[in-house]
Parts: sequence; structure tokens; C-alpha cells
Amino acid sequence: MELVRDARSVDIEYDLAAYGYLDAWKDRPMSFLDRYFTTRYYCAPSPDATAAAAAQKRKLDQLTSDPSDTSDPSDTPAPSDPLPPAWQYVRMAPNKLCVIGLASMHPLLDSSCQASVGRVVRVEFVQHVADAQVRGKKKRGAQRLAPDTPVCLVHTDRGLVFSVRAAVHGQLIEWNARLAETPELLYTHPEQAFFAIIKPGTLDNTKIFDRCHEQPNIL
Amino acid sequence: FDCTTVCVNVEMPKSIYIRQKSLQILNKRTPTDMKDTIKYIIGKRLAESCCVAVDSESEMQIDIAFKHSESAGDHQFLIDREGTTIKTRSFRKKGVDRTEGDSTSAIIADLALCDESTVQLQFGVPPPAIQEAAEIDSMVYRRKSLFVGGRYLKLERNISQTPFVVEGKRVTELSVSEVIGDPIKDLIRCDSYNMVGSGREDADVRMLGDGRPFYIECTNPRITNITQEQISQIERHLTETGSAVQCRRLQIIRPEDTKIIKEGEEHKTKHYCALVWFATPLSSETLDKINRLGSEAIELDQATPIRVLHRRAPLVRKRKLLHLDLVHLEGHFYKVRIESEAGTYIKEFVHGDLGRTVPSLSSLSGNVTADIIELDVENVSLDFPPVVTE
Repeated sequence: MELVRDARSVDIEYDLAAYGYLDAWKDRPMSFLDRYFTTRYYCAPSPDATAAAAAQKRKLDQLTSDPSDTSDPSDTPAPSDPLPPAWQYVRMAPNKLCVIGLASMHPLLDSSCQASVGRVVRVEFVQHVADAQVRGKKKRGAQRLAPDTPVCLVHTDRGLVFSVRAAVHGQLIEWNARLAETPELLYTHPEQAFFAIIKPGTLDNTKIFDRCHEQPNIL
Repeated sequence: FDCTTVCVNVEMPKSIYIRQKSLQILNKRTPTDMKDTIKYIIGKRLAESCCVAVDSESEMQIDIAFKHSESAGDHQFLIDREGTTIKTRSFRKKGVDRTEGDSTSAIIADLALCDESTVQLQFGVPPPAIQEAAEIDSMVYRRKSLFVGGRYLKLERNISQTPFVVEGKRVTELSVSEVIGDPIKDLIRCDSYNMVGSGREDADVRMLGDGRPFYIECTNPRITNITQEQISQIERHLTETGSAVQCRRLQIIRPEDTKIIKEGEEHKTKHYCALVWFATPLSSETLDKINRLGSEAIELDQATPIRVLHRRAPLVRKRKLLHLDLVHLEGHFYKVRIESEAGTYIKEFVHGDLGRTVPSLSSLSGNVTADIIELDVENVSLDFPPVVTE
């Protein structure tokens, strides 16, 4: 079907000179997100606690199932250097919805930690997150979260498990099924590798970012 | 009001029905209905002094309510009697005690069930004499709304469709409804107006071409005898002064025609033009591939965009892009022209909304980060209202 092209439309000219500032984006393509979001950083109180707890559980399971096994899972794989803090980002849209994900300096994404941490093999969303069905404008059925609530467990090929937390108080609106299906997104398409979208319980920015920092400073 | 017919509606004080019943018992015949009589007299007088005709189907309704405080308690015996069908509720609202439930219709209904002896004993046959005359409690003028239709153009950015206020402050200086509605309001002298467009565009998006269809409903218009010339004058003034908001085909429309606007919103396709920035300029193969895909329909799965997710249900919408073409301007800048189904989120199609709109211009280009810098609506393909012939 031939499209009727209005002669006027061909005349739409854009004044590109006005957008000179976009040159800064060439080096940091993800900066376009700053147009849409306010970014803050969150770090769980003891990032390796869950890793240790998971190791403990495995040890207990093994002891109960096979008493002859003398290996001690909690000893592997202890990284020789302490890992950097597990920073997560919280990107808040103007409507206050928060998108959470791993910051680029998180051990899982920090290339210098690759050797000890390993590559991500599985992204497992916590049971009650995966089961929840959010319906309608009022977001019925949404899981309520506190900043330290684990939302997802990320497993690496070196047996480490990282817990991704909610970072804000609120209701879980959406969890990223695409990430669960394709964990590699964390490396190939970081901006698509968010974990969840959370609707905070308050509209007050100070309260929303109560547990967050403007910069991921070393604690 | 420049109407030619009126319809007078009269509301009588509640005691009138009881008194009429009392007279009926006395005289053993139905008395002349006071309400109709008063209605007729008022109508006749109005017709004479204002040069209008009385017509119950008139577009102009005048509601006159009478009150009579002296006999306001006359119906109390009906509420108090045994076997009453009147149910009242007493409550306090805004610091004032109110009683509800003793409406005119409830009283008439209960009166029909009440036996004559009760009326005689509790009220009195003939009815007790009164000293004061009834007076007018209120007079409300209601006229059928006048509808003005047209197509609006938005030639600059940061203009919302209706006044956009957040926390008491105006976010956008101008709004389409005010620029077009205010002159119309002045011309036809209505109480208020309400603008309804066939869809919306964001405040930072321009509406070009032949504009977007809309109608404005004007409540209680005083002047309805407007010539097309007067209306066209508003359109011409906006165009000649180079206003950021203009209109086309502005005319008075019939109330039935307003349905077309809303139906068009869901079914008609729209044409867009956007300025897009890519993180790395595309190779000619990629550009050709995208244009080839664009020459046929592209099916999208769009999850509710994050920017509206706080007030919309989370769903995945299937939408079609009927045509797309992408042109390189210079450096990282490209121009894309899209024809899409109604309800497609174009901004999200360009940058992919963090991967929640699939495919997106970003994903089609081999996952190069893309962002939309400017968006314009070139055309809304709903043909309404008809072109005005001089």
C-alpha cells in the first residue's frame, strides 16, 4: 500500500547543533539512562553472609545424606582476597518506580574478580517473587519488600552464590524473566540485565533512598 | 441564554402533597394539581416576557425549587406513624445535622398507603391554615452542551494537552485546551469546557501535519447561535499570529459525532518522525536490513513502559509497526519515520525500555544503544471533522 507522504513532512529538520552535548555519550553509552533515571547505590549489610549461609546449608545436607563424606564445602571456594562490596544500583524513574540491578563494580561484573568469582551460570529468583502474580492498575498480589530482602540468588560456576536485595521498601512490580532465561545478559547487555522493578511505599525521595548512597564509596 | 424554547421544572414544598390529600378527603374529589398549575403559570409568564416557547423537550431546562418553612414539618406524622414506609437516616455532616430519606417520592408513596383516618387525626382535614407564602429556594439553569470539534496542531514542545499541575505548580506553561478553549469559552459564554482528543501525545512531542482530532464540550453555553465565520475567526487568529498551538477545521459538531473521536483513538494508525541517536553509527548492512524489515509490518511485544507503569496495569501489548524507514543524518544521528498501530509506544520502541519492548530499534541494530532525542507526530489518520467549506 502506497503511503501518502505529506510534502510538509519531508521538511522536518532537526537542529543537530543543539545536541553537541551528546558527544559525551559516545564514550559512555549507558549515560542515556541518566536522562530517565536518578541513580543511587546500595550495598547489603554483609554481602558474603548469604554465600556463607548457603555453604553451611550444603554442608549440613551432605552430612545428613552421606555421613562418610568428609569434604567440607564451606572451605571452597574461599577467595584469596576479600571481594569488593556487592554494590547494586537503584535507578529511580520520575514516577518513583525503582529498577534494581548490579552496579558495574559488583564482584560479579568486576573483571578483576573474574578468576575467584567465576562466571554467572544461574539467576534464580526467590520463590515468592517468582510465584507472585501482579495484576491491574493497583498492582494487586505484589510481594512486599524491605531493603535487605533477598529478591534473587545468582550462582557462579565456582559455586559462589550472591544475593540480590530489594534495596528499597516497596512492592515488587516486575522481575526480569529474560535475565533468568539468559544470565549472560549481565555481561552482554548490562542495561537490560536489571533484576526487578519496585514501587516504593512512599513518594518521599529521602525515605526511598534511605539505605542508599549517591556514590558507591568503599565502606 | 439565547434559546428559543424552555422547559420549566418545578419542585414544590413537600407539604403540598399532604395538603392536597387532606382536601381530597374533605371534598371527596381530587383537587387540581398545584404543581402543574404553577408550572403552567410560570411557563406562560416566561414565554411572554422572554419571547420563548414552552416545550418539555427543550434543550434549556430551568429547575425552580420552592420552599415553605412554615409547613416543613407537615410530613412528620407520616414518618412517626405505625407501618410507615419512609426510612430516614439522621447524621451529622460538616458540623450540620441532616436527615435524609424523607424525599418527595417517598412521601407520595407513603401517603398512598396511609389510611384516611390517620391523616384526619394526625394532620387535620381540612389542612391547617398558613400565614406565609412559599418562596423560591433555588433556580438552576441547565442547557445541553455545545460541542466544538476540530484538529489541533502543536508546533512547539513542552505543551501539554490539558493544564498540567503537580503539587500546585504548573509544569507546562501552555496547554492545548486552554489556547483553543479560552477563545471559544469567551465566544459562546459557557460555564466551563472540557477537551477530549483522539489520543494524546507527551508534552515534549509536537503534533504536526493536519493535526489531531478533538472536541471541546462547552457546558451551559449562553450563545449557541454562532456562525461558522465566527468560529473560523478563532482558527485564523491562531494561525496568523503564529501561535504554538493552532487548529484546523474548527466547527460546531453534533453530540453524536463525538463517538467518532474515541473510536478513532483505538483503531487509527499514526505517522511519526523522530531524531534518534545511536551509540555507534550503523554499518550500511545494518541500515539496509532495518529498512528492509521496515518495509513490511514489524510485530512488537511491548511491556507497559516503566514511565507509565505506576499508573497502568502491567501487561504485554502486541502492536504492529506498519512501516518504518531509517535514514542517516550525520555522525550518530539518524531520522526514523514510522507508521504504527494506535497505542504503540514509540519512545520505548527506539530505546527498548531496558529490553522490555522487543524488538526495538536498538535490538534490531544489533543491540547498539539507541535513544530518542526528538519525536513528532506527523499525521493522525482519522478524518474528522470534515473540511470546512466556506
